[in-house]
Amino acid sequence: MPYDTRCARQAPAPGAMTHVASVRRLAAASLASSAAALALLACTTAVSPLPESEQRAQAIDNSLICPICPGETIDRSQVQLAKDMQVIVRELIAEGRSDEEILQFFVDRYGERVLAAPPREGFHWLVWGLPPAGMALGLLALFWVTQLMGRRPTEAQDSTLRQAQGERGDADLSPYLQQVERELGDGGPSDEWRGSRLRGNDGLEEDA
Amino acid sequence: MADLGSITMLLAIALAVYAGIGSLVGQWRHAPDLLASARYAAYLTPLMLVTAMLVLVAAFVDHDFSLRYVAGNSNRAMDPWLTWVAFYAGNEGSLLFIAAIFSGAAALAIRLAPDEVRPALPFTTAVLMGVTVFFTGIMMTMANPFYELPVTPPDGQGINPLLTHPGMFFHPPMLMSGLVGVGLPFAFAIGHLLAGQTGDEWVDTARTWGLVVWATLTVGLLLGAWWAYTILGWGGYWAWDPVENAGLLPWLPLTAFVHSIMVQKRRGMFRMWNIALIILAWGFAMYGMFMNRGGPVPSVHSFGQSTMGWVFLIFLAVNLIGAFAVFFWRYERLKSAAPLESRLSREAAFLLNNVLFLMVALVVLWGVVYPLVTDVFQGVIVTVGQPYFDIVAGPLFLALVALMGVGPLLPWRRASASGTMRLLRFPIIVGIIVAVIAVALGARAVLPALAFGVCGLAAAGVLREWVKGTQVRHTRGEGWPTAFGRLIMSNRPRYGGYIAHLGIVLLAFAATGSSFYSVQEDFSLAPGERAALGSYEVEFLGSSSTPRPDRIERRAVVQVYKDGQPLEQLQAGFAFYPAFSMAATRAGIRQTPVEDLYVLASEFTPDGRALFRVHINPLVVWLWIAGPIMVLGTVVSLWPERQRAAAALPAMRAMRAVRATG
Repeated sequence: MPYDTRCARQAPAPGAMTHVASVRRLAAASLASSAAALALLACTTAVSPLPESEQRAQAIDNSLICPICPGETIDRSQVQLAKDMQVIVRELIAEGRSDEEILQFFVDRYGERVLAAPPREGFHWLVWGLPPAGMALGLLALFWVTQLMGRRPTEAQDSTLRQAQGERGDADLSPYLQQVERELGDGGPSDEWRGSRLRGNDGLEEDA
Repeated sequence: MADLGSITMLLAIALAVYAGIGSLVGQWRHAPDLLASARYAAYLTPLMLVTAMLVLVAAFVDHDFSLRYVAGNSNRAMDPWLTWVAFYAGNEGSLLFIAAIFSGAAALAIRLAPDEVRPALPFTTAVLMGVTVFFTGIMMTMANPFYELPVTPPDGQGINPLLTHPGMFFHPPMLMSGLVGVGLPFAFAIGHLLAGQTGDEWVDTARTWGLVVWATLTVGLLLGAWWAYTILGWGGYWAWDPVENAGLLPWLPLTAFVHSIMVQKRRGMFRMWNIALIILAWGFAMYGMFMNRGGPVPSVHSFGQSTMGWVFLIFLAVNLIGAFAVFFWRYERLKSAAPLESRLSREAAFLLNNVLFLMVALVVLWGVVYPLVTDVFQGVIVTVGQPYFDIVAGPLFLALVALMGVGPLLPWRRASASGTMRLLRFPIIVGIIVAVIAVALGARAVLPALAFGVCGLAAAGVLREWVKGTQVRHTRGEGWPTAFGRLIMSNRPRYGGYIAHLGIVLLAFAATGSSFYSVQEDFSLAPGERAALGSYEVEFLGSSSTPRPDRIERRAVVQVYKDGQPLEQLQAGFAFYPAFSMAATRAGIRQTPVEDLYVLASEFTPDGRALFRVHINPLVVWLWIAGPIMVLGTVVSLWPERQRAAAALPAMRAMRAVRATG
């Protein structure tokens, strides 16, 4: 069987050994890099956080739009009104009001458009609800489409299929490819290696 | 000089109209001479537009205020370096730039068209020329940069202060090129549909141009983020502003397109889908240009307010309706060459990728248009800002990064469940370890820990492929570096893609760090006073005020300390432009791989105190590093393969011989 000799020629004899060694080296490399990345983070999370009330105040600053400079939150805006609103936010927090009450305080005075995003209630469920609903629909559609696409091709399409594969140069290989995939599916000690080998140089797909 | 500009613009539109109509008539009448002459007209169009552009640049550099556009967007007081790029500060010059860069790219695309796209080339040319004519025409009729004022004013009105930044050299041209460039793969797709070439002939060319445009748009968006970070002065780089969204929207389907086109290239599948994707991307790209050129939504970026928006919207509608009409006309012919064999395959992963990208685009678009919906149904224009986009788009982006770690490991056609588990075991383990370490290091919330874990998973997926592939080559007797280099070169689309993926992982890593762990505090300091934030201290040393011809520069000098040790001095301040009554911020930034210390001085009070805002923004530098990595990945991906070039050479020679004799 041609494909067998091919693999045998390229596979090192003690496949399992290489496999273990490679996994170890791989694990080491990846752990080293992720550790390096996280070391970066470690340095920065050491920053002592602000008092909780100030954190809350900043979060509220970022949920309120400055009424006279469209699109900018009162945290970002440089105008006096925004700065006054920031002071009010801190005063209301000091009075012990909850975040919702403080937001409502400003909505009562400036209307709903003072909020950086619509509240999750009433009509505005439309803006919050549609994305998850759309995602669910999208996944359903994906399921349905994959079902449709997975149907056995008709006679006519089958010939285009063969033709298309012929253009890609693997028509004569396809029985072997199928066999490889069957055996890969059964699983063996070194099939992971073989799988990555086959895809690694992509020779079977690439050669035009 | 202005006459030269007007004349070259007229010639450009005449040439483009001739090239478009000539190639259609030539195709219809089977007239190779007419086709050739139409092609040459298409080559000449950019020459005319570039000449017009140079005339405009010269007018800015010379302060030729007899031109209304120059007088409106520059003055004698502005910095000389800025006059070289001030010509795209407004609508007129931007349109000229867009028309010139597009016609240049179109000419290049026609000239470099490989044999397999030549049968449809007349139709492709017609589409390309249609777009060129639109931009040139709208400029000539509605925003002529060469309009001469009856009386030449002694000085101009000056340039928008927010544009006075070195980023002006790179960000607007990259973004405009990236947006209009989507028209290239679009033209190849529609041209082939019109010609009835409904197979895979257009795929390689559209993929090449798609990737070039993708990289340009990506860099354009990142430069915009960098610009916002250094000049808008609010400590962040992305605010989900309507105009930022308009730049992001075409990027999403375009990214989906450069992925799913690989499935058609390899397997002859997704033929309808790819065409639909590129039509969508072009629609969003036109929307993006429309938003930048005087859109209806207020934004810090929309500089050119005008009524031109309506013309853009009509052109957008015509394009979308026309493109989808052609699409449905050819619908029957666009069948896949192969069935989808399994939901556990790389094809299926690509499909999921596409669905997720489109979902992000749709939820972003929904957030953008929702204020119009409430306006119509409730009579109130609500704001849909950052909280909405973070919540609805964040998880989708996270899912995309996770898929990026998993999808490329799956084999084409079908994978077995057990084989897949073996493939994914390693990335998943790394992802979990990273998440656990993140929690151990103080990631207090679930989301950032999850996001870091997903970044780890995606990076491990890529590294696994590299290490495995290199190892296999090493066991065949190649040295480690050679093995790695040859591995990358053996399948450039694939390994170039992995490099770009690493860039995306870096982006996600930086975005997670900076959005969950930024700290900021306001201080009012007198000279000599210190303030502490985290392990940093800043000492206000003193301030200066420098009058310039067009602005007053206020600057504070602060000494930075970390853990009590003096480091460097930073300058933070702003320039106030009285003519615009606007200030352009200049942040003082100390950038390290770990975090940025970001100092703003927003106000100087008469008693000598200054109002500071100090941010600590973790990991931001990795955003800027990700850009070059993604460009490198794109270049590797597109690097021509030797065999193919060698095979194409005799064919090209034969073509030339035919052309020479015929």
